[in-house]
Amino acid sequence: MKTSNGNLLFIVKHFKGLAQIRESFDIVLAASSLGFNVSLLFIDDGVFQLACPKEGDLSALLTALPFYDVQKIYVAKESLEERRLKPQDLILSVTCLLPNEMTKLFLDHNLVF
Amino acid sequence: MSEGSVEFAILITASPLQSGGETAFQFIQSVLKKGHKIRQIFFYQDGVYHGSRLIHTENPILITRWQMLAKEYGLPLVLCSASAARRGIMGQNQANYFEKDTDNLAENFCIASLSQWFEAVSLAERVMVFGDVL
Repeated sequence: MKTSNGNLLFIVKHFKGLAQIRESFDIVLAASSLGFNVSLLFIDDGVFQLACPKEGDLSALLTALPFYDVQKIYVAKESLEERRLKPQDLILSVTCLLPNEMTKLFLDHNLVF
Repeated sequence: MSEGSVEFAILITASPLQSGGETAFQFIQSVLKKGHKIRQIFFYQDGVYHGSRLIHTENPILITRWQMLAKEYGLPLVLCSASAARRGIMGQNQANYFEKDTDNLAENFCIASLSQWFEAVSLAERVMVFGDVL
């Protein structure tokens, strides 16, 4: 990549419990704190991660993301609809993307995890 | 660096029991044979199990093959410190720090933080990920 402030995209594909998601987010928070521009994209069952109860440790972890400079949070519109979820059911305000918009999102990032 | 040679940073989250670990090994071996460079192999989440010298599987040779590659090419095999501690994989320093009665880090592996990984990401030309991150 040869740059210290590249754009990184992390894709959340699975629903995980607290201990596992906390460990997964270590890499996201580390990247952000080291000066990378970090975006998150929730797809497939990963969207359930954002549909957790508003109280509790899991939502505390996710709602803290903007404070770690992780501001750009995207969700696949199709994944939400397949699971009968609406953006207002989620604990964070997100940008919903169509498949062609996701293609553009990938191209806008140096690195996709 | 020779012409046309590419430098990689490799992230492995697949455990030794998953196909991702074997795929990663095959990939790394191939790129090295073609004359490319590997700046770092970073093991994260369940990937850190690759660095336990006590692991016993039907495929016990994977760890010795990592060690052979490390010796032949001087590859840094790095385990994420937080992931390793959570899974009970410790070098002497970690075992002392966490007051454990033994260490189990395999030879040629070392333990470091995620910032070491991102340093490699910044300096490498290509990054490859084997296994799910999130």
